[in-house]
Amino acid sequence: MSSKTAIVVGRGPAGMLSTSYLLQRGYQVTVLAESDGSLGMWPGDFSFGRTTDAFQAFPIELSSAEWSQAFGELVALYRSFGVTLVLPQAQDIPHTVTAIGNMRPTFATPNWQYASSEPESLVFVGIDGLADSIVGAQAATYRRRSGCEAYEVSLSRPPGWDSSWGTIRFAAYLDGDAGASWLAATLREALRGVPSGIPVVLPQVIGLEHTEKLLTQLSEVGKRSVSEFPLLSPSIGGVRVRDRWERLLRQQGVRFVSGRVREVQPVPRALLTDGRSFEADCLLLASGGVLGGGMQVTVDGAIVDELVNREVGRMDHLDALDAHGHREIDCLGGGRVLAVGRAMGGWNPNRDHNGGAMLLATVRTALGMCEEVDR
Amino acid sequence: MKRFEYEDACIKCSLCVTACPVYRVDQQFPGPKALGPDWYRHYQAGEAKPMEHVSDCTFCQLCESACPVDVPIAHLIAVHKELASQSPRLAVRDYLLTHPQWLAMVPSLVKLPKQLGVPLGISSSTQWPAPSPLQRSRRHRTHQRQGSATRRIGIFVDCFTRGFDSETLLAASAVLEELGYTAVPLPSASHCCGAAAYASGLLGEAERTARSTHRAVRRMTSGLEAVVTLNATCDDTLRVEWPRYFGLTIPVPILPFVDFVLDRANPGFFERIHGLPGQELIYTHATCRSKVARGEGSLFALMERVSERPPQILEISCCGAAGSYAFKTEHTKVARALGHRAKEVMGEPGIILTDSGTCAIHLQELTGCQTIHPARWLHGQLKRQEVLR
Ligand code: SF4
Ligand code: SF4
Repeated sequence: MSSKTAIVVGRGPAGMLSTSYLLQRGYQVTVLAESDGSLGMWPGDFSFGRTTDAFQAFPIELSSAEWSQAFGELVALYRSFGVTLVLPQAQDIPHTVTAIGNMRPTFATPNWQYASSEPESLVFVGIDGLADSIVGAQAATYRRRSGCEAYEVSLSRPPGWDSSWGTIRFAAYLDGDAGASWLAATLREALRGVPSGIPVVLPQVIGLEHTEKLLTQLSEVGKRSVSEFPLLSPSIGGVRVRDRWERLLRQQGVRFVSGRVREVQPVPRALLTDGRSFEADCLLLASGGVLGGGMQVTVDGAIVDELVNREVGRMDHLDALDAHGHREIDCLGGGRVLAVGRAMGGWNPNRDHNGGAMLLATVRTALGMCEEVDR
Repeated sequence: MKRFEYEDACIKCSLCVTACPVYRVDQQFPGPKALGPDWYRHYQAGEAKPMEHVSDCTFCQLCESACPVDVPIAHLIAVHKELASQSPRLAVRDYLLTHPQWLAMVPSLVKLPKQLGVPLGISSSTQWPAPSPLQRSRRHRTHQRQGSATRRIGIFVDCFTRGFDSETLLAASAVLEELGYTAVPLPSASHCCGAAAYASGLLGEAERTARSTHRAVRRMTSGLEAVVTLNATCDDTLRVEWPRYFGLTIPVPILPFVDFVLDRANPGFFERIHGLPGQELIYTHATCRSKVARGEGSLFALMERVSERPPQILEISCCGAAGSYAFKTEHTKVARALGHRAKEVMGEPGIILTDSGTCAIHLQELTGCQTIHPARWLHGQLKRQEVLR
């Protein structure tokens, strides 16, 4: 049994990544979280900014060798819970397509999601009865943005459909035998007359558990590449990643504690509102993400709630965290208590499309600091 | 009843929908967001009719634990259920099933032919528990020990344990004793925490039940260090729901049995059990309500310390038993669809440990593998150890 222990606060992508890498380094990890993280709202691809250009400034700079090592480790980690992440071959930043037909930069992308370095002609598939599936507008935008041809086809509602069918329901249906054969048959029919060879993109609802198998079969039968484009929340890609990743962590002995952190002490110790307290050799705060409210640690050690530009604490001791509201719990750095993900100041992935780089760089840096303190 | 907090805080992220076990298997179930916050908004505006299938919600609360902004989703759905009209026939059944404390007083009722329940809407295919009531003499014996000077720990005797699983109570008491405590079963008469009524949308009844049980429990807490619970739903209800929704508090900490043992036992205790040869493969199942209330992994962590073979996690979300849910005819299909996954994920046979009696009978029926409370397993190992010594 390991002698080193760690606490991770938050179970979004930054928390999960920290947990996995801490395990690899021999820590015994307890995750404290009061709700689900944002994995279910995020398609699961790791972005790296708009360009790989050398002038791109990140709040944490890694050398290109370090970046490629970081992405290599990430690919291996994803493989361990059954998701294949594809890295770009060349230096360019690949793009994926969105539900409204925009080309959004991506970098390491799960193999079920469409990604390409060059604009190309695509067949957009809409499904009747699926909210956010607006194939006409999507194809029109894509045509305009990419300058390439965009074909549109629509599938009719599946049998048994009613208005309660959201993305999860579609995905669960397509995981079953009835759904899989319905999809194969209707797609074959719909693609009749569309020039062969042109890649097909489907809304991201192609199963939760059998996705890879379903997409491979569709590609083989249709003799063209078939992949998905991400939808808005809940994001099925992220749910797949979340479910498989959490399963692995549970089996690796990680405890997922439900509860709200009220106070973090430099010991490090985390106190929950229900009176429980947890101590460990190091503590990573991964709760400043999309749902955590975007708190930041500034260079002088102040913790600032960005939304209202208000200082809510200092890095050396944080208390009354719950009083700031549960969307605002955040962060301190230095020593054994470190911030990762968006909790680390200076990143703005919404603007810069570099959320993936942010996750890797902050987690990597924090782990390096933990190890240094241990020595 | 206290007013809700954050009932209108929904940011429409749909994370609750991704967490709901019923939404994945029941093609008509509208899901937590539609039945909870969306419906409640209309309801407050005075324009909501109850939706179909609202009663298919198991009240597992996994939706609530996923929600980033604390919307009391399952509790809003309980209000929704209260308004959903139901046939008088089902109302009678639900009234009976939401008073498990009565059944616990005459557990042999379940031996009546199952077909008798069919007209009432009681499932004839779901396995009923075998009665195993707490004997008066046993009660008496446990009470006598109270005089000693050791540290005293209360054990909340829930309806199921009282009527159908006295073995678990005796085992838990024996394990606590082994750890140096005196176990005090409470309350003395059959009571229910009120969870069954709340889950069915009988909110007034839930509160009345809780109040009467609270009185009975409170009376017995003086001199106790803590109260341990044997069932995850009762545990969450006593510690979290009572104060939050009814303003009822217990002056001593309330803890699940497993967490208590993990926290208080010394390394010697774990080592003694760990070394025993010939143990079966253990699967651990964290019930939904234990995930919601405390989190996942403590049962697994305990088993990692005491089981000679590495334990495995039964990788399912909700088993579908959900208290009295699986006993209702209209829910049998969903309950079985959820529970069937258990058999699919088990690589080889073993023994399943879980801290809920109704989950245990459901899982045992659907997997064919013995399913018991962890206290019983621990106690069994301690007894074996004595024999082997
Ligand atoms: S309580 Fe459980 S079954 Fe009911 S809506 Fe929430 S997650 Fe679904
Ligand atoms: S998880 Fe909460 S905020 Fe999100 S949709 Fe459900 S109720 Fe609304």
